Parts: sequence; C-alpha cells; structure tokens
Amino acid sequence: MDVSRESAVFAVDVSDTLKADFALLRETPFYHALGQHQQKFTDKSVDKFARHIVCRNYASLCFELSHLCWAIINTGSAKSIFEYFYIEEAITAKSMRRYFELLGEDACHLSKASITMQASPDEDPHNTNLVIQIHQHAFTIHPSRANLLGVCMEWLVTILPNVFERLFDELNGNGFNAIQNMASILQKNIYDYLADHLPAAKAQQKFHFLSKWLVEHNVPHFSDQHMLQIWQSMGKRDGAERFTTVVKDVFQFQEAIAKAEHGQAISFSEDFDQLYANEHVFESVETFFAEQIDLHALYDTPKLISKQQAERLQLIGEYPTQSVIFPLTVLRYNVLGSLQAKAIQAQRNKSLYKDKLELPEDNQYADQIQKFSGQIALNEITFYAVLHVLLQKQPEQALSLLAANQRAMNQFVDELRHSGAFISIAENTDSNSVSQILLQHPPLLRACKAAYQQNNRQGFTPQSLIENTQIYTDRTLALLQLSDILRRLFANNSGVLSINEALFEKYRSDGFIFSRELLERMLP
Amino acid sequence: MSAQKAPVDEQVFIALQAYEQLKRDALRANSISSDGPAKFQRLSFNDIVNCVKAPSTSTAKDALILINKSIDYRRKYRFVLMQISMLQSPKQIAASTEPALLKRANEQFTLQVSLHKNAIEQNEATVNMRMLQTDLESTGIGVAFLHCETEQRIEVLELHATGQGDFATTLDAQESRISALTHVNSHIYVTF
Repeated sequence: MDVSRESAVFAVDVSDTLKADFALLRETPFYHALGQHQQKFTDKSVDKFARHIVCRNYASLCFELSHLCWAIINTGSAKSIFEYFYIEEAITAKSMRRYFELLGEDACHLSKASITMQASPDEDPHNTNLVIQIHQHAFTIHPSRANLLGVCMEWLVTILPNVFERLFDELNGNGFNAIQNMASILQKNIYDYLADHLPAAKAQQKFHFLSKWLVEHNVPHFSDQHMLQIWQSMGKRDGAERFTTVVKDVFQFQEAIAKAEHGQAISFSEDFDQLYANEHVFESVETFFAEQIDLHALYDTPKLISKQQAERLQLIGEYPTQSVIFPLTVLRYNVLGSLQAKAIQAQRNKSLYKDKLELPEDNQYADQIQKFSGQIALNEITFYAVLHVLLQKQPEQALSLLAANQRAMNQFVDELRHSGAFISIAENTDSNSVSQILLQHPPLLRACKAAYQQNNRQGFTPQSLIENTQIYTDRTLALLQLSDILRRLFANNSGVLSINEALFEKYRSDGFIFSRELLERMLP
Repeated sequence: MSAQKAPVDEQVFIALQAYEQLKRDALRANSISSDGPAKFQRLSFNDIVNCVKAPSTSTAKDALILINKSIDYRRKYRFVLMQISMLQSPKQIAASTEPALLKRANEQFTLQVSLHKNAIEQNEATVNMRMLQTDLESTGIGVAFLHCETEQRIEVLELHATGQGDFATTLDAQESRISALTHVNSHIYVTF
C-alpha cells in the first residue's frame, strides 16, 4: 500500500491486520476486468470507509447498509444480497439505479412498505434516489453511496462469519425495528473486532490531549513540575478527574514515546523470526517485561509485604522506570491521591466539608520518604526470614536465592570481617560458592532465624508455611527487585528526596494548589 | 522520532499499539510456527468469489492454493458455490466395485471417469459429463468446471464441450484432481 496514502488516511494508528483489511479492499478487482487490474472499489470510497472505521464513526454507515440490505432482501430471495454485491456487482450509482429500476415499483414483498427509485423535485429526473418507505418511516439512499456501501459489505463479509445468513434471517419479512436491530448487531460486531485493532477511544483522546498540552506549553517532555498543571487543565474531563489517573496517563504516554523510539521493539512485533535472529532485540524485549512488579503476589501468602505497603508502592510497582524519573510525582500520587480519594468518598457519603479538602500540617512527603526507605530495610529482614524457611525446607534454593542477592552477600562478608570473624573467600569465587560458605556461618544463620521469629505474617509461622518453596524464591526475587527500584529512586533523586525545608515548602505549595482546585471542583 | 522534535507525533500511537501487540504476541510466541499468520497472504471474499466464477485464471489457481490452507476460506468457497453452481451432486455412496466408484449420476447429470492407457503406456483418466436436462444453460457453453470438495481440500477440473450437453477432459490418472473426483466423500458442484 502507498505509504503516503496510508499516513494520510490513518490519523491514528491501527493494527497491521486492519491495515491489511483496507489494503485488500483497495486491491479488490472487478470480475469482468480480471487481468486488467481494474479496482472494484474506488480509492475515495476505501479512504472514506477507513476513516469511518478508524474514527469509530460507523453507526450511520451500519444503519444505511441495513436499509439497503432490507431493500434487497425484501424484493428478492435468500440469495439476493450475494447476487446484488457479487453477481450484479451493483456498486456504482448507475448499476444500483438499474438494479432497483428493473425490479419495478411493486417488487417489495411486504404490505405497507415500498421500495422505489425517485428523483427529488428540484433535480434531474434521471438522478433518482432509492426511497424506502416502511409504514411511517422513510429512508433515502443516494446511489452515489453504492460504492462505499459495497466496501462496507465486503469488509463485513471478511470479519463476520455467516453475515449473509444473519442479514437474511433478521431482515426478511420484518419492518423498521429489524433494520434498527440489524444495525446494532453490526455495530456491536465491529466494535468487538476493533477492540483488538485500534487503541481504545478514550486512550486516543487522552494521548491527543497530552500531545497538545506539550505543544501549547512549548515544552519538549513532561516533568515533575507539570503534573499538577496537567491535572488542573484536564479539569472534569471524563476519566481524568482523579490525580492518580492523570499520573498514570502521563506515565503511559511517556512509555509509549519511549517505545516509539525503540524501533526494534516495533520490528519485533512485525516479525518473530527477527527476534530469534537478533539477540539484541530479544534482550531489549526482556527488559520491557522484567521491570513491572506484581504487588498483589507479594501480599498474597507468603506475605512478603502488607496490603498497606503494597498500596503505597503501587505506582512504583506498575511504572518503575517512570517513578525513578518523576520522584515528586510518586510522593504526590500517594499523598494527594489519598486526599482526593477520601474527599470523593466523603462526597458520596454527603459529608464533604472544606476541612476534608486540606492536607495535614505535618510534612506528608517526608513521611512517605521515610516509609520508602524503611521499606528497603524491611525487605532485607523479610529476605532473611525467607532464607530461614528455605534453609529448613530446601537448602539448595536458599543457596541460589542468596547468590541472587549480591548486595546482601557483600554486606554479610563485610559485617563478618568487621566483627573479626574468620572468613576466607578468594577473590574469584563465584556467587554460589560464596553463598555456600556464608550459609554455613553461624552469624548469618542467627540473623535469618531472628528475622523469621519476628515475622508472624501468613507463610512465616509454623502453621502457615507453604509446601511449595519455589513460591518463596520467586516472590523474594520480585521483592529484591522492588528494593532495587527504591534504591534507584533515592540514588537518582537524592536532592529532591531529602527531608529539608525545601521539601516542606513544596508540600505546602502543592497542598495549597491541590486543595484550592478540589474546592473549586467539589464545593463550588 | 523524538518527542522533542515533534511533540504531537502520531508515532506514540504506533508505539502504544506495538507495545500492546508486543505483550499479546509474547504470550502467543511459542504457539505460532514460522509460517504463521504474519506470512500468510490474505484473500478477500471477493477474491474467493472470483476464484469460483473464473477458476481457469492464474489468479484463481494461486488463490485456490491459499483457500486449501484455510478452513474459513473453504467454508466461504463452499458458500459461493452454493450460490452460483448450476448443478450439485449428492455425496457419493461408498461403492463396492471400482467402476461403480468412478460413476456418478443424479437426475440432472451423469459423471463418469474411465481409466485407460495412452500411446506411451501411461495411465490416463477421461472425465465425461453429460447433462440430462438440456434446458439448462449448458447449450452453447464451451467450458464447464467441476469443483470437487473433500473434507481436506477443493480441486477444480475444467471440462470442454464435446457435443450438446456433453463435456469431457483427459488427464493423468495419478492426478490429485482425479482422486478428489473419485473420493467417496467428495461433493461435486458444476459451474459454467
């Protein structure tokens, strides 16, 4: 397909399958012109049809096609739709007029209904339109629509099974309600098909809004300082009222841009063979999926973190890369998001007052920072508790888990050396051998046992231990990954995440802006 | 592309789509063979209709190869045959003797496949079709097509008129089209 045409028609992107559908329609040949490369459907019709579909503006088209099919079926037989579109190939204004004119005025099988070709009083008498009259309902189809409706029919046959039979069963002998019903059925089926081939309409709108916002504010990309402004400018747009939703939208947008820059990832989706031929692509694809952390799994049994902790870490777990780039947004997400959630709940309970729209006096950002850094320490203790469980049940798994945590091993080796314990590890010893040596050392074993005894969560008490120890290993690896992200968050943003007067100022100003906006929206 | 150069860049949608596709495909990656859908040339319904209408063209012959690879295409091909074929044979009843196996008849036409050796001692099969109802549109038509549908595939034979209502062709007895025609479960449609 012509690339310039493609980009002109598709203002938004569609899947390769849908593009191939349109390309097929464009290349559809006329039967009598086989070998002459004459197209059955004009480029204009296919472009127009593609726009209807891509812009999700196909309701009127379905309604019009249902009327045309009703007219064909109720003047013919079960085979009529096939004959009209594929034997007569009545897909030009001329052939459509000829088809219905040859049928005559009394061709309709139903009483109180008529199908005629009529000219408008002020038009050329040869320029007749198809007029369908069913009781009080009248509908006119201009024959210039014949080609577009032919395109629509051809596409429907490709995507919907038994469409001819369904049209006949629904429309034969029935009136206007059947036409409406058939149009709804077609719309529903198209909607379902497009779910796999077009980005969701709301996502499209949001992405357009964000792209436009960048242009209007003349900034190359989003940063922490824009988040509140974006939320404010989104106002009460559908699906963007909550600050947390806006943050996620921006993160998705950021990720999408990153993916667009990652051309190889796109080529991966186009050709699987390349994936296996090109290790580099495979590695980058691996990286895409390695980062996200399933926090639900972490607070399931064995409970490595509490539900409350998981909620606090939700954004970091879902968007680790973006969270490291937007440290203040992570704090705002939890603090401001929670304030808004409580305000919405209060509004539902009809108990919303001004004081519920204000942040507490204490610096909640500092509180979040402390909790994040505390989480790293907690994760370490949980890691030792898991080691203890594995040492009791599956010592080999304990070995590999410790070997996976280079940081813990180094820390232990240092601690042992500082405490004066004799430990001999050659420099080039591999991780597994080091972990083997360490796991024989009493101080580490004592630390693991102590961590286990302090932990009374599900999965860490004698009654709740899980037989399948692999679950402990897998989830602890995810927990270690979470700790790594938190460390990265602090390491890359040491200035922003320092608890000082500047942070408190930021908290107060954010709180002021956020509360004022909430006040305007919720208590105008 | 970069957001810096073109902030309003539709590429983000390509990216979003690619990303979503990537996630879906990653799950399916193991179940798709190397000649999976990505390399599968697609046929429109119109292509299938044209294939039935004019099976002797090179386009139709190429299309038939693809049709035989997909159940959905064969189903559509059968649907089109039902709409436009002039005659259909009932499924052949299993025959006990070979000559009976090679002969079919209903009230509209008879079909016979006879085996013989040619000048260079190769086995050949001659397919004869006789229309029993001459009021059919066979008069004056030079070519008839036999579409033989078995459970696995569709084969098409082109017969040439040898007299009024009589059509025939000769081909190698080992041909897959002959085995399809004489297959116990094949269903035959005739188009002109």
